[in-house]
Amino acid sequence: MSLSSLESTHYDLVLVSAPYTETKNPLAALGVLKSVATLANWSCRVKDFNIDCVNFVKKSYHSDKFVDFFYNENYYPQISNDLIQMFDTVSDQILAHSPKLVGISLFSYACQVAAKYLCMELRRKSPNTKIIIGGSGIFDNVLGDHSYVNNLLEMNLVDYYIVGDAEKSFYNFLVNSQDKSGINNVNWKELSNTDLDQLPFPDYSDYEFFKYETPAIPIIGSRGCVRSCDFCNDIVHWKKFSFRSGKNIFDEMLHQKDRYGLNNFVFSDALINGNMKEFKILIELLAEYNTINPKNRLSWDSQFIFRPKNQFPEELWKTLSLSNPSILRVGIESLSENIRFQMGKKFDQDSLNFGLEMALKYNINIGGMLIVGYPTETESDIEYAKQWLKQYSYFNKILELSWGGTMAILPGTKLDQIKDKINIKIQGPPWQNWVNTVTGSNPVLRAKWLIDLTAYSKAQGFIVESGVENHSIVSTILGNNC
Amino acid sequence: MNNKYHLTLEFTSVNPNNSMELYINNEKINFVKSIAKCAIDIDLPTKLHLEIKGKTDNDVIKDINDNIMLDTHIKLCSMTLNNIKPNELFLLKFPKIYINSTIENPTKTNRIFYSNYFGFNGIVELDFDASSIIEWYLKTNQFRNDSWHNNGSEY
Repeated sequence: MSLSSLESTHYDLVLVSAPYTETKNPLAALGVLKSVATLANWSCRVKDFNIDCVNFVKKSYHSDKFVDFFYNENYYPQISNDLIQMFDTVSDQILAHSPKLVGISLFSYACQVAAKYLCMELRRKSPNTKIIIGGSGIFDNVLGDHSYVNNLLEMNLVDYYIVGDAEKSFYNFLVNSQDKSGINNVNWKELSNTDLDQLPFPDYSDYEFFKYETPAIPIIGSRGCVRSCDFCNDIVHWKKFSFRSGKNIFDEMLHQKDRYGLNNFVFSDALINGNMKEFKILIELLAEYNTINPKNRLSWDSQFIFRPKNQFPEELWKTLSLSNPSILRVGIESLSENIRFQMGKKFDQDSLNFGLEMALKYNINIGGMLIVGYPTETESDIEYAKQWLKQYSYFNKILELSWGGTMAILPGTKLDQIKDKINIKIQGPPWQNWVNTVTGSNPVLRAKWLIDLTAYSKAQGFIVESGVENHSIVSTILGNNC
Repeated sequence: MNNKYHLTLEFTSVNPNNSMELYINNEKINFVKSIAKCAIDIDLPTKLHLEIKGKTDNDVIKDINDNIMLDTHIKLCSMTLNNIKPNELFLLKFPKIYINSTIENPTKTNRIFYSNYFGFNGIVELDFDASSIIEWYLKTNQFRNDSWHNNGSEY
């Protein structure tokens, strides 16, 4: 693995992103935490181990083995030496800064394996350097089951773990405050709207944007969601929806653009338009800025919800267009209004069609995220979806579809809690492995629906996003029949 | 850098006649209430040989149908290397048992078995086939491979 030469300036804290997360854009966490550290008077350096690893793996002849190792910790002698060298090199790079604390960020459960091996090397080489881990990946599931964290503590591979929104708790930790909420316990506090507006802007000065497929500045506008979809684990984690003011978000965009020379932003929000008042302010500010600076426009990418016409009329779509979204990712989930209402995604067919008509009129790209195989879905719903795709194929100019890897029932979600009531028998992990004992829905049937809908969508001229991970899930379900 | 690695081993035993004995580096391991813990420093790579002896025919009780009702044995139930604990399933396949071998000639036998259950006299070999902790820990994931240390149909 080709890595830059060791830089040995001392920093109190080194923050590291643990692999393995395939992402086209940088993740916000380390930039957010660096600014918190600076506020607490800790010198800080960020090391994006994840992107170096991902780029290395993608070019490797054994990329599938590396991915399997990071996800499932399976052993392959062909990659053993590369892994040993990788962890050796990265740990040397981190420790070259002589930090008193190393913070490791785990974006998801897929980061657990790499984080463990990195901790092993850090501990071996510098047993007195403290290690703290955090991020949504430190727990086994959204319920907060923590056999992974306990295992690391038992092996003395970490000293602390941090839970939930870290801005306040990490600051308190660094200044040695009495308030230890979220540090080695699960009693973390969600940030209020006022808290969010008062946070320092993230510091991405150590980020190497050029290493990413789509260099863009990460940005967080809100936490939680205003919807209550029963399959979602975000709302189990964030019980409230909290949001920044539109002006505060816009100010950050200008600040970051000036600092890093990039005009593209990617929001990590569950939805950008949860609070309509602040969203309206934001898009008006962006529209005005882009109108005055046509050669230097800001652009942004975010998740978004379709709202009824009376909540989001045409004039707002026009303003939205001028704010220059590169793509709006909409959780359509199902083309059947009936299924959407059952899952808690309560927007009707009129709202769907109106949103798409407006996107078409104002040339706004929509990334439609869909789930195949909701527990009550049957063959007739699949046929209905195909009819819709045929009838509305003209939306293919602006609508790109992502069908996912078939319905997963994640532990702790509302759907998981009512599974007995709706005749669901879980046979996983993986969490796509469940059956409906009444309708007969099973993983193989749903995988076949997915293949059918994917092919049909393409035949109607839609671009269909096909991720490596989803393909891998379906292949596993169907074996050689995929 | 210090190349010694701290190994801890934990055993349980079912040994009603107190006949079965376990030796590590010629030192007898004492069981208290059927549990024994020991710690030694090892190099990497290394092969550690544990000696099991003293079991007789009287230590296996069978019923009239020749089913084993009680079998005197020692079991390796836990291990750490520099505090790093491998997966429990790894332990089931890791120890290599040379049945009826002796410490003078540890690997001389025509019966070899992989298990953490030591129900025979013989030598148990713990093969730490790695030059570093991380290499060793990576290799502990070999247990997921069904063909790794496969005992075959005999057992």
